[in-house]
Amino acid sequence: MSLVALALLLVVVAVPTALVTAVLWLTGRTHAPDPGSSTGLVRKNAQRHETTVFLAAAGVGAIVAVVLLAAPVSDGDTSPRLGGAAPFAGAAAFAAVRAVGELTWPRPRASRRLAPLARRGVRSVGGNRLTLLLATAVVATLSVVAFGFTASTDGTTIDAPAVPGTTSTSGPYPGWPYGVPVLVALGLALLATAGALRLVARRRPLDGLTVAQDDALRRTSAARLLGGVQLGVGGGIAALDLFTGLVLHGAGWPLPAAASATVGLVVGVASVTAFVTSLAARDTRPTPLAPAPVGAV
Amino acid sequence: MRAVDVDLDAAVPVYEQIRAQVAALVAVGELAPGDRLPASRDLARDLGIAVGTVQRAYKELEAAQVVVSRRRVGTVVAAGAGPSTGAGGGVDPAPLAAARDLVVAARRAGLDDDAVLDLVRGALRTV
Repeated sequence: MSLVALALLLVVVAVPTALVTAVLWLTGRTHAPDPGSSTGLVRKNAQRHETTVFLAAAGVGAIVAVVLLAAPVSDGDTSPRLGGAAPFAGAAAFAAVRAVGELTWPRPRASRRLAPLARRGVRSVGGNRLTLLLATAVVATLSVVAFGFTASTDGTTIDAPAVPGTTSTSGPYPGWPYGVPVLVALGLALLATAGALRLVARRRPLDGLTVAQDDALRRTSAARLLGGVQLGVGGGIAALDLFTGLVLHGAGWPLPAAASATVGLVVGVASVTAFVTSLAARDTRPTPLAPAPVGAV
Repeated sequence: MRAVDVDLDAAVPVYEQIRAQVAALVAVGELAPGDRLPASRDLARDLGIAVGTVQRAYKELEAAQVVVSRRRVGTVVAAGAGPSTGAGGGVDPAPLAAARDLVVAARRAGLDDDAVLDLVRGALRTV
């Protein structure tokens, strides 16, 4: 992948992220709750803060994705195609802004402090949504690698099944010029998500909330973070697989076409479902106390 | 949900508040043998206090054999720590049940936690 394309990818992600980061930091710090506020008011403010962070992250993610989708493509060469990486880059920007949002929660000022006697980590906070995202990332990687190795030498077409006396290719096909930017953006998305999730787990309990309320808020933040990233990553690979299925079908590869389209459909439905359910997430289950490994006591 | 509740402005040192509350949760069975406590730096960060304060609380709990600390595992509630045992060694549910009844009655009467503790201390000295 050329350095110019990589730089463009990073700038498109970094600039809007930095701008929204500054706004969130300034507004978050000036709205710390009065320690004497009622629990209801504190909870309302906390939910408002969570929603603000979510909307800001979603806005930045969408801007990044649209900008990359509109990136010009040169036909006939093997330079990187950034369009395919758009949803993944959008997911990375979304997670990055959410991470910054986690740093803008008000610090505790009250003399009375509550803290749960439970270990919190990325896995306990992420739960099944994290498992789904990791599984989707594996599917995405396998898809991109498979497309890369099966593309023609130019990387943007695929050879039709061999017929004596004829040669033909079909495209556009997502070979390495498409695949490498996708893998880079996917890696960025996963790193940003891991960082944001770690911040969600490590955030201090908020003043004025019970431990159960704070835990529920934390789980809501994690669910919305993972739901948004799932939409970008899962939606991106679903679109890629479905599109590739069409190309393979047109090129005369019916079985691979069906396999690619099926994978795309399953991942797409699962990802959209995960995103929609994350918007309504109000997980009130308490974080379980982590058991000691066998033989520890 | 099991939690500690500390008052930074109270006369009782914060480490003692943490120690007493963890010991109390173990005594009533809310924390069972094998349950892992948060790492001292994580609990300190949650409470906004120095790590050394939490470490002192954990050290005193370990000295009282309420918890044990192991590398890689962290701090866990010790085997054998738990609700009071009777003279025969088995778990006697009567003291715990009586304590819960006392708390219910005290709350109905509008007494706060300090008043309840004063009652118990008074009973310990006079019975």
